[in-house]
Amino acid sequence: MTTPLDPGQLDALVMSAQGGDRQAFSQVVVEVYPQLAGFLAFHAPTPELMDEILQSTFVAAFQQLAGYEPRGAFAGWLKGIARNLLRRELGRRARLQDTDRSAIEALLADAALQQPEESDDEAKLNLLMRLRGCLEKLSPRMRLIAERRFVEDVPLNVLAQQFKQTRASLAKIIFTVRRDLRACAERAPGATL
Amino acid sequence: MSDDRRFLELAEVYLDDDLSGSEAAELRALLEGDPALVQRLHGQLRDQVVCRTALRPADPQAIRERTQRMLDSWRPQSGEIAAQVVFARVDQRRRVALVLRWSSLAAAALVLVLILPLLAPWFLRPVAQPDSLAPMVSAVEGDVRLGALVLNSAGERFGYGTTLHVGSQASATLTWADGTRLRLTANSTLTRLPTVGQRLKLDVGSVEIVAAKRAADQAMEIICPDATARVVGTAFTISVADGRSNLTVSEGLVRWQREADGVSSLVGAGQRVSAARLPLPPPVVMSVDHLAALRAAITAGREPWVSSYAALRSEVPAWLADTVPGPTTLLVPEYNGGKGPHSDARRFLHNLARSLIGLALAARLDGDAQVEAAARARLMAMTTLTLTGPDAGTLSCDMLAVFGLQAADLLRGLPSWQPEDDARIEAWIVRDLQPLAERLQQNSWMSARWRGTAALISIAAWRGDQNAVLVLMQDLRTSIANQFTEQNVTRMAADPEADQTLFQALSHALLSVDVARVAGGDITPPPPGWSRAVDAYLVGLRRSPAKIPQQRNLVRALMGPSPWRTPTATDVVDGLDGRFHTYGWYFPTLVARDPRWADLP
Repeated sequence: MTTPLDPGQLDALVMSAQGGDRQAFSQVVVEVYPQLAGFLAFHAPTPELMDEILQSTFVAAFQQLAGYEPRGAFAGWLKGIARNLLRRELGRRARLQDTDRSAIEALLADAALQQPEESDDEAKLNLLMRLRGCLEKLSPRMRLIAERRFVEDVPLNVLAQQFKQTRASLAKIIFTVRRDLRACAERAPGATL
Repeated sequence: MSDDRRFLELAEVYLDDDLSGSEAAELRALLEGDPALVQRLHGQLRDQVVCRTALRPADPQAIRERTQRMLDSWRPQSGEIAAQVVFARVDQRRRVALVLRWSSLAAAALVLVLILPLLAPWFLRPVAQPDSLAPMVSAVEGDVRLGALVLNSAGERFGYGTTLHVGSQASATLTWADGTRLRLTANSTLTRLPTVGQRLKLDVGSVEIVAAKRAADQAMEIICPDATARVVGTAFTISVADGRSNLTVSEGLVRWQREADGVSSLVGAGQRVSAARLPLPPPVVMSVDHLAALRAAITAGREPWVSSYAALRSEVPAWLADTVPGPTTLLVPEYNGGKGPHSDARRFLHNLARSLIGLALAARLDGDAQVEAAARARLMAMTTLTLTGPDAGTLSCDMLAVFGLQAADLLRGLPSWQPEDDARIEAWIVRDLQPLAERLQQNSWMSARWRGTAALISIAAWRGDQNAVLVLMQDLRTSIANQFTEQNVTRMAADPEADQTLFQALSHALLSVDVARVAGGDITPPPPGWSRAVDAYLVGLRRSPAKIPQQRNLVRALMGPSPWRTPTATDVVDGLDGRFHTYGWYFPTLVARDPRWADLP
């Protein structure tokens, strides 16, 4: 695993990208991707929205790259864009209530907008890192379910067939796995499930 | 099965975007019945996102390859205005995708495919050689210093990282090879930043710039303490005093971005904006880039804009000579076949509103102060009118809300507009416009309902409530789709000469959608029923030997690029005058028919 670049090094890459260096831009995306994904993971209410905002943020950043002042705050600048895009999207969703699905989405968007703004990004990133360790502490069967569900995005119906469970039972298991993973990650490093 | 177990199951299926209709209704009922469940589902979804993100770490090589593929696939396109249009398209597609409950990857791919080609020029541009684009100090007067060097004459290069100081009663002019000129006035300090492109930092003082047209990626930027102006080719002045910046644009467009929060707006010719005022209110009628495109279309002699503009200008002298009415109470009884007090009231408002919006449009297009003052006088007169009687709502929506607020919006972009004008318009809305519009929108007759919607959209757009605009637009689309069913269209098109039902429906729907599309930036196609109704109407008119001028005038408004308009109606139109029937005058051509959209493939 490579060491993340410090803000000054990142700015140097961004300045190269501002000058038209395509490789530099690729490298910028690689560098900031995990941080931005981690940030959005705690703010976006659904995986789809997270992916969408993640992509849109990079696109918006491309467009505005010339406007970035190299002051060692590129990640913060990017998060500002992401936050604005997310709030805008949530606001839009909160107004859509034509169907049952969009009404549900609107309720969730409202709930997301009511969440207090959390700023301890480092703690969040640490929690994400610890989650990986916690996965190893699950029983083999639970770990398999978690990997299928969270990593491979296997739909609930398919997963229920694969594990010979009813859909409702498996939903309960997944809920428990998710809750336990989070609880593990929030405890001190080395904690067991 | 317990409620909790069922809730968990539905929540998981929701995550898969796999809820059936009945399951969605069931989950909705659960959530609406218990707010705690909403919080719980939100928490579950967040945990899902967190787990997914944590357990599926980003693969740097995959990201790099994907980024590279994105860059490789970009193709050049041109211009910031094109970018605005495509962004509007992307936004709209996003809205549609939202309604359909997006498949995230498909939506993301769509967004990327649409936007990324715009970025190609930026990546394909030649990288500037160090300082090859340095301007020359072409004129100096008084106490001027370049860094520590006292300048007694012109001829020095203004290189990267250097600072130009201009003392009191002094000035300096910089000239670039492409003809761009910048004049630094007394007591100003300007630094050329050591970055690629033309980025100049104005710490204090004032600069006047006439910038040559240049590629978007080579845009000049003036960075002030609290805002940045980005310009492609235009003439403008920026001043900084006590750390606060003001931008005045005399030609073209400048993107003006506040430093503190990144908020920005495009500022167009004739506007003067301090950074503290950003963002500018979203336009009801025309954004400044739309306005720039319209000016460009007129200057280039493009039809139908140039003819419509010429017709508009030809009426200005008569409007300037007209007397502006004083405060009046206007009785609007029910419609009586085009006669009597209803029609008198309509005629009175027609004359006022038509001249008002015509003058406001001319003022905005030309920057003519006399025309601007005449438009303002009419607008103020309009806000003092009181409409009473059974049909007050109809005329209030058609004439006052829609055209009054459009005119106000055009005037709001001009320097004479003051905060007290905003307060006056808001009071007018609350007192008169909104109650009447809400009442009309509840009417069971579709034409009345649509006119009420158009008025409410105008109000929401004026207030900058884009969400309300979008919701109303969606309602409008649904209403049009419900009304123009095959059965209804067949019935309404049976006799276009004797029965005005379809004429009324098309006319008022077109007014509403024009208002909505302009205010909301909505360029998605109409419901299929709309095209069916237009086609049926044209068939009926072709069949009819009667002159029926009002109906044939509507067809002029219907002519134009698809999908909302049709290019095939010329045979039933009597002449190609740029003016149309009462609903819109110049609006259909000069405003609703955006030249940028006409350029789209």
